[in-house]
Amino acid sequence: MTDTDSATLHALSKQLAVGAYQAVVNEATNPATRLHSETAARQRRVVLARAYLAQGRAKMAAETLAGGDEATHTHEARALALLAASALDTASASASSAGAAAVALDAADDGDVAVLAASTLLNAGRPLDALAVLAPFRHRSLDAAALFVQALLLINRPDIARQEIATLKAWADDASLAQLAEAWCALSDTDANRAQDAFYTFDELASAGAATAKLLISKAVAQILSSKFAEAEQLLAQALNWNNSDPEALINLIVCANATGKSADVSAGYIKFVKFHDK
Amino acid sequence: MLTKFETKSNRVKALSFHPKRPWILSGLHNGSLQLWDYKIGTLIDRFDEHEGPVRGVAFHPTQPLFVSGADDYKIKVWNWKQRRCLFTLMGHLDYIRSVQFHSEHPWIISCSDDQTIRIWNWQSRNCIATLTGHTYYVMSALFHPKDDLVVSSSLDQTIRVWDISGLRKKHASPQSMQFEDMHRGSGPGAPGNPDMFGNTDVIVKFVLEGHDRGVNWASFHPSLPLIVSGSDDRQIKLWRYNETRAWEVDTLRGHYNNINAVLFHPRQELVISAAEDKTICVWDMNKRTRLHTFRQENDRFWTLCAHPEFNLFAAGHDNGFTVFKLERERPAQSMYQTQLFYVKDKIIRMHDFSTSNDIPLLSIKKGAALTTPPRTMSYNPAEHSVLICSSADGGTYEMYNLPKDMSGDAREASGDIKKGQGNAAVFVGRNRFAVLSKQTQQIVIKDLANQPTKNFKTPGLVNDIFYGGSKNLILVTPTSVILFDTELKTSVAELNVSGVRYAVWSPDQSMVALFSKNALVIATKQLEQLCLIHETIRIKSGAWDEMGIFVYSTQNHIKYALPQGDVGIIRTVEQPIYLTKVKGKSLYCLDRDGKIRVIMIDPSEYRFKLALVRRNYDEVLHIIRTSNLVGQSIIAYLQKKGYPEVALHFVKEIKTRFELALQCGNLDVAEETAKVLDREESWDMLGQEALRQGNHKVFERALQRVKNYDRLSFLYFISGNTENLKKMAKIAELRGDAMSRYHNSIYLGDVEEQVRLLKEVGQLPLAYLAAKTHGLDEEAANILGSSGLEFEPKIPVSGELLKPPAPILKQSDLNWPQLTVARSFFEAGFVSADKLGNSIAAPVPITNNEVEDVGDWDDEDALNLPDDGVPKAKVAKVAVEENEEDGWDLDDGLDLPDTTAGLAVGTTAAVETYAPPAVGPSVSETWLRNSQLAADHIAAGSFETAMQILNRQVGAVNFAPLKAQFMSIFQSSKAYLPCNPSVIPLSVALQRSADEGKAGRAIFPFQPMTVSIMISKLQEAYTATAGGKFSAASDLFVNIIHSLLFTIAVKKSESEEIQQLLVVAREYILGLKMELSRRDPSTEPKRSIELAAYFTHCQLQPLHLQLVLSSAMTAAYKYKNFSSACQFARRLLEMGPSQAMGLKARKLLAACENNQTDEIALDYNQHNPFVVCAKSLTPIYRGSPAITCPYCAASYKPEYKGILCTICNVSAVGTTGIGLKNINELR
Repeated sequence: MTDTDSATLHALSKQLAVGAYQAVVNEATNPATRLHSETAARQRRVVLARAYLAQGRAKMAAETLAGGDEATHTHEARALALLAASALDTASASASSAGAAAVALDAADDGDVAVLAASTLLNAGRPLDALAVLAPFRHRSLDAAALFVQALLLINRPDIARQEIATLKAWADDASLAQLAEAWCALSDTDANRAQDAFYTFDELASAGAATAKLLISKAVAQILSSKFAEAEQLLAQALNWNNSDPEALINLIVCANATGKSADVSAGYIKFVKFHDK
Repeated sequence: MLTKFETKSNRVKALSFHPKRPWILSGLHNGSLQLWDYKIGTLIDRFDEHEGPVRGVAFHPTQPLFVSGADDYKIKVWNWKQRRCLFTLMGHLDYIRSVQFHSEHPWIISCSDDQTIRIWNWQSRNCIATLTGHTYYVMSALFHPKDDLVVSSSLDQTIRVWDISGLRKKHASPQSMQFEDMHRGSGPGAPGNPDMFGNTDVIVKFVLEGHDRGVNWASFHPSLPLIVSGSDDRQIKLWRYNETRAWEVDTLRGHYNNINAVLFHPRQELVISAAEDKTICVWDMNKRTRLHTFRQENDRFWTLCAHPEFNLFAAGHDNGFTVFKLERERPAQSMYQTQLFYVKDKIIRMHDFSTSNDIPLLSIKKGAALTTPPRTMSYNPAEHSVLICSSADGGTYEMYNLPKDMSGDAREASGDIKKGQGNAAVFVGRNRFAVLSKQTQQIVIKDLANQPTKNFKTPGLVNDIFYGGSKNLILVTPTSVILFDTELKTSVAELNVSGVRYAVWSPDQSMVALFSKNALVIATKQLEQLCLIHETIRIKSGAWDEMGIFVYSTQNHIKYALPQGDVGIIRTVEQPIYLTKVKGKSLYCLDRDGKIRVIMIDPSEYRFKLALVRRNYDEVLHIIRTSNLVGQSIIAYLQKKGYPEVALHFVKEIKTRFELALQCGNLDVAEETAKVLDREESWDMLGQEALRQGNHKVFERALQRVKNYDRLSFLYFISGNTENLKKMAKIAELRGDAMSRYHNSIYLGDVEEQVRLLKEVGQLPLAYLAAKTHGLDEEAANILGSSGLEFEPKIPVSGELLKPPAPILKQSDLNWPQLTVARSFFEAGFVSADKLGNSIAAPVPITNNEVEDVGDWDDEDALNLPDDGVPKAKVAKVAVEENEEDGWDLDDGLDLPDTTAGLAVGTTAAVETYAPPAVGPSVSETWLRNSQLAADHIAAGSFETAMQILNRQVGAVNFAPLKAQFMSIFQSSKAYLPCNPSVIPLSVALQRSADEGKAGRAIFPFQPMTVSIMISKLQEAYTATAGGKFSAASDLFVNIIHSLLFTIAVKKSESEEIQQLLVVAREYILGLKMELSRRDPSTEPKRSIELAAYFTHCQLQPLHLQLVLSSAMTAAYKYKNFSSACQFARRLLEMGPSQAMGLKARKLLAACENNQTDEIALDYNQHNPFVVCAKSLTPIYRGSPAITCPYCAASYKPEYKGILCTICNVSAVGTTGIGLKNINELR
């Protein structure tokens, strides 16, 4: 893989991490940016597929990976399909997770597959299995490491997550994803002061006009944890401007509405909206 | 040393700054005087009347005068307004070395090689004193700025101080002068001579000896009794004097050739000297050390002068002169939101624009500001620290942590100050900063511990760096700026603009303004140039308005620039200012003394232009309506920029209005104005425009106005208006215009008319042809006969009859479909004054997005919500098994080999051996363990235990009414953080801030219901009560009583407040219950009065009690229970009710006074204390058995034991509880 390739991929995965999904799609489908190596091209397809999926365009995601016909691609495609199923339909999550575990075993040396499979496992509430799948890759792949941290936080082990981040920062320096993971960890901390740290991290990533719905919501969560509900509501309202049915924004708005003692109608309204979009 | 201006000329021997204007006057060796404007760098004037080198020049402090002295022995006084020499003072017998005006008196002092110093009165134009004593050339003679002293230096190696108080006495008061003049009869004609008492006007006070060679210059300190002198012995000497004596203080050595000029800095403790060794030196006056040396390669320095007010100096040398500053006067500053951090007097200060507080934070006397003021400052809001760069020692930076509590005085910077070498340092992230080293062209990224984390070579010669957005830097090269990503170590973008000195980011970080001395570039954050603006005058500073306008200051203007390139002047400024923030009409800036100034500006012009550019027409309209933006310039601007329709609304002048109306196609206005103008060409123009738009009615009117019959006919023809065509034909006949008649007849297809016309005009052959071809044979024959033609004209065979088409549509009074002219927002806006609502109905894309984690409250009915997280049983089992084998350790054997060969093996092995850690206790579990409060258990999702707690504490049995509270608490217990894409969000628990710290490390969930919220709810309920909305009020109180179950007290006093609130809510609910029951129409009168009476015994707010008493009184009176009514009335009056209510009570009392009877016997005794049974709503007098609700303590008769409390609707009456807890006690 050449340097320019890795720089391109690095930039892409950074975009993915901060939630600039459309930017990823635009960039990765831009025919002008050519990648030199096949590995890089494959990795880019996975990033693209994940971006599509994050936008809820499962079909596009599937088509992206279906393009290749080598053996490894099928693993990726399978893992992706399972993740798509689990992410878009919570009911089928446990069913998908069994398949995901199997795929992870089949392609045990593929970090991308591991990330996809572990995501599926997390969605199915199997964080321990996800940890096992991710463990081998967590010192090489930023994505795997970030997911690893999330899984650790999910099983309430912020202490280990912190250690993990310390090692992560040792080799990934201050990559955006590492910073994000650190902020997640800070927010899971019981010490409210660290919420402010996390807020600055998100704010910094969202600065220079690079704000995304995800970062806005993340900022809002940090504000909520510092009991700054009014500020959080503003941020969430901005996030809704990006996507007016963003479930996380709506959910956190419900939190704000309740926490600020707004009348029950307000939160009921949000709940209705969530349900409507959830079908 | 910062050079501000340089000239090239003959040798400069004398210089003087104008005290107010940016002017400097130089006296040249070739005998001419030059007047320069050093701000814009132009030669204003020159005066060539002296013959021989001009060695002395001086401006008058207030008058438009200056004086010059030269080798032609002449002192000339000039008026620069009239640009001429006013007069010449003659008297010196040799070269004149220096001249100076006195600051108060009309005096000039001069010295000469004739060994004398003379003082002249320039009003009477004569010499009033001659100071003799020096024994060789006198090189300088200067007045003291305040005292009656003169200092002179001479090549006789001495410096003399002269006392001129006698001169002042004699000449300052005109009376005494007249008096003496009369007595002496001589007047001031005998200068310097002893008067009749043997006193001279001027006496030598001190003679200072110490220099070994001739002394070239000596000058006073502006305030201290000090003199500094420079000599050919290459030494500078400091002298001190008092009333009686003067002595040498110290000698400054360092120059290695003759020193020609030396002076004190007017405001700082510095001495500046200029010498023939081609250097200017700056010395510390107190330490007597040399601070700076400024060397000119080829030019010897001859003279030096200081600006009286600004920190400017000028030095004359062999080939011209230089205007310079010793140091930058721009205060280092950094803006964050509304806070400005800046350095003033070596102290870092913070100014908050929202509160106008100005606080000293940190003294940096010993650090960066030691020798030179800091150059730049970069603030890091996350760490509350600043990076200060200074140019001392070849460039250094220092990082200071600012104190967190911003009160009191500035403290000394302490602890470990991180410092290092570097020409520029800026924060690039919350924990990273970049340092540029110009020598090595390296940029080092360092962390907060000042440890380098990254290091890279610059992509070219980089002179300066600026913040470029998160993790990015703007690198400034001599010819371009580069946006550099420090993470990827690559250049992202490059923009060619040379000599950039500052970069200012817009508040939203979407645009950056880059400016050099004379150019300003506004670029996007990707460094795409939006506009380039050239300035002739140096750009000093700039700041962004909130709306995206760049406001900048030059040497003498404040200007604005719109991102698309429009520039305008806002106002002029006297002195350079450094803009920091623009907010609305206020412009905040720092001046050179580090003072914060607020300048009020009128932003409407640039707001207006910006609104136009952004097509924000609402705003445009608003500005037009509210501000007085008028004038040719704005109209011209609008026209030029293609907004004629906007300009139209400014213009009253008819002709311009007409032209504008045409430009924007507004025919209504155009026609209106054309009518007023009523000129042919305007009608023509209107017609053209109407034709272009297809508005034939306007076109028709225009044609009618100018009587253009032909075109009118044709218009009627093509518009099928045969009626009018016929009229046109008539008109043509009346006008006698045969051609027009013929046309009209053709248009109408009227052959007879054609034939007739042709006959009339004598075109008989044509008439014959016309008739013949149209089959009018008889007529044709007639013509033939009458004309006497020899032969029949030939009729072309192949011809076709010309037949005008018959109009299909005859709606001639209606217009045709017209060209759509953009009806602008304005027309609508101006025509109807009401604003148009901007309906932005953006299509709402309803995407079927992933909504993963709404399950928690999706199922609202089931109170027992699934605990979020993982299936516990299974997890625990796995964890236990794995955990026993091998403790999960981070560094334990999981460091994978990097080689791909070992990878496959390694990874599979890792998959098998990896032992996931044990599941940690969830926050919810911690809450459950820590808290004895129902509310906390609800937040933890454990509704079951919450209900148990409530049952135990307050005997709660009915939880249905509490559902809303349960949901609200549970829903506000966690926030949801989106982490990795397509993975369920992470739930993070909201914590309650620690209970005054004494609860230790125990953590509790956030609780939305606090005492203050409850109190505000109570206010609401009170309002409803006072407003007589009884059932609404009752509902509100019930809500309060339910919410109180979950209200968290932070301290003991709040716990008591909760108890009080509970009592209040209970009393009101009971009372309102009775009131509602009373108002039930089926209630008997007796019961009705009773209920009203009982209500008066609830504990209510006085105001509410008055209302209740009043209504009870009315009820009793209505049923003729006068005695009771009187009781209520008396009670009411005791409370001091409002006037109306009091009047009513008194009236009633008067009416009932004589008839103290009750029609209906009531079960009510106001003197016997009672409580009301909440179920039966009857009194339970003291001593009677009663039971209470364990929660709200409402009373009941014993027979109601076990029923649900009617007040709180939660607890069972008669049961016991351990009491409601609303504060967690320490265990």
